[in-house]
Amino acid sequence: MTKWAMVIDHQKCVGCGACIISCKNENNTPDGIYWSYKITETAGTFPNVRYHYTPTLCNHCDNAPCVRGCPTRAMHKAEGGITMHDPDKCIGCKYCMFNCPFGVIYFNWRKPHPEWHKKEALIEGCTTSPEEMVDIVGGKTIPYYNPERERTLDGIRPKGVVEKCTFCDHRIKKGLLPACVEACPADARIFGDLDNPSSVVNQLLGKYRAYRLNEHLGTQPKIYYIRSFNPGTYLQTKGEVS
Amino acid sequence: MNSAKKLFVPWMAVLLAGVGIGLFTAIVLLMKGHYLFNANDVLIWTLPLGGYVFFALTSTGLALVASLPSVFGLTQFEVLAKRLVFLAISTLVAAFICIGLELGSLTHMIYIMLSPNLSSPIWYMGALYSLELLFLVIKLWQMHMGDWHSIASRWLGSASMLCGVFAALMLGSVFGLTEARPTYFGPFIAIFSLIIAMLSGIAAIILYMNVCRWVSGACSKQADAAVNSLTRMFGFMLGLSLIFYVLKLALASAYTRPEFATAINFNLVLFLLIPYAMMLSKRLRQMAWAKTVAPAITLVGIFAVHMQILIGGQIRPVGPKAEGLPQVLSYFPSIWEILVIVAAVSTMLLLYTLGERWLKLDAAPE
Ligand code: SF4
Ligand code: SF4
Repeated sequence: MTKWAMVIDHQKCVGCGACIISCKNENNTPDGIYWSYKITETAGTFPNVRYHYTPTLCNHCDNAPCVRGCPTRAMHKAEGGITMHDPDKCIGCKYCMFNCPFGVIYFNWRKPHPEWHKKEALIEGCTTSPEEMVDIVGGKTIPYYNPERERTLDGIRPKGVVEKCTFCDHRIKKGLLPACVEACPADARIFGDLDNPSSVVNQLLGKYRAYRLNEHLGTQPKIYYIRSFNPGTYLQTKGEVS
Repeated sequence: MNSAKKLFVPWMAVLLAGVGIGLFTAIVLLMKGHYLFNANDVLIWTLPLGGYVFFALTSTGLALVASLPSVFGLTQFEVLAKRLVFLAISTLVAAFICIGLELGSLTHMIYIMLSPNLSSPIWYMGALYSLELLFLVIKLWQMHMGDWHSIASRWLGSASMLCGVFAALMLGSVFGLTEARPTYFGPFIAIFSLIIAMLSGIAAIILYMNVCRWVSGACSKQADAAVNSLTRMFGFMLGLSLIFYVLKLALASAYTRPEFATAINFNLVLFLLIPYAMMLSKRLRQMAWAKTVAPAITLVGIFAVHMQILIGGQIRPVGPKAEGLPQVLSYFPSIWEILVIVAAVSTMLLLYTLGERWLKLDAAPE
């Protein structure tokens, strides 16, 4: 059985955010909704400070609390261990958001992409209105609409339901890598099958000590982080007492 | 009686206006979306959900007290039973209004039946409260028809009591099973919910009887003995709830993160402590004003405790949702959230008023 997983290599990640943008394009997500995002932290005490950048997405947990708690099974486990969501069954109770310890589920508080429903021209007598622009380009709600997303899920999810990363299941089914993996200029996201002993993911997990977010909660996340980016060095020392 | 009659029309007008506002709110929310609430992807559940928890648990408490005569043979409460069942129904309707207006998609509700998830506490909670409503309505009908002691009526009493107990436990589990939130404390919160349910139910009926007597002179005097016993039980439940609330605060500060035990948490103890102190005094227990003020303070306090638990567990953004947000969020309800509560309270009071007028709620077995 296939079990999809991802390794994120901190040493290679430059924090450019290409994964975040490519995900938004691929999945037609509205403003404020990020299936792929980041945690940025500064640590230490000035002047000895450092900065951490951790790319995030749904961990497709094996023991997913979002799936366990969903009253209608709208949130469910699908082929390859992917945590999928069915907007048709979702009653918008938001309990999955409450349950997810990783903060990766978002709610459609309003009609998606409201800015593209506007009928007033941007500059009167000069430009089209956003809605006309969508019509001319032939997109659905947004001009840069990606119809491929519709293969396994609503292309744009309606108001009143949640949404989150699907590991680009529509692409995997066609033998393509998730959009964020494809877009990463540093190849910091490595995708593969955890159940295949010779997959690159398994090779990397064998080679490097990996960690997962919130591992102590027992949700069995399938996003693994390896290495850390630190090009610096320091003078060899045993420290001091005073 | 006369003043009650004079007040009836304006009172009904106010309540009907409240229900009208509720309908308008429902339409606006369903058309525009829940961005009208002061909620966001971090603070997900707000005032309407707090209202739901409060009304649902109060209804459970009322139903539990109503079942004391038929299930445990405490016949002194029979004079209150019909009124209690009716109040439980009306309060549960208010809870359903709150949760209904909180949900994003009512049209998909059918999947609760078609695609149930038997590992979800929300599913059990919904199923149990729906069943409870059904049982309570049948029970009220039986009482109305004068059937108090038949086997079917006893069976219904037990079934609705069990439904109530498990519904309250499940409501608590909705919070208790979220490992993601450090302040919801697993099984503890389920038991806490059940205790608070009982306390709210008792407080609600004592307050109701006193207000009813004061406003209209109605609500039978025969019920006085029952209300007095309930007042003693009220003191006991206040004490028990206080212990559990302090225990919750201790858990919050000792076992999770000390900063969760804020000053607000401790201030809320007063809402239970003041009525508890009042109910300790035998003299005050017999005074109408004290029997009105103490349960009123308790109910306000319980509502505040529910809100504190609800919001307290959500104010810290989780994972990437912390990007661009402060470490701790602040919250104040939007006008639309307040209107949801107005709708629920108006409907509940409208039902109370109509029931009190037409349903002979003082009825008791011969
Ligand atoms: S990361 Fe969150 S949304 Fe994704 S499977 Fe785990 S619990 Fe569910
Ligand atoms: S919001 Fe939708 S997917 Fe999430 S728990 Fe509720 S019904 Fe399930």
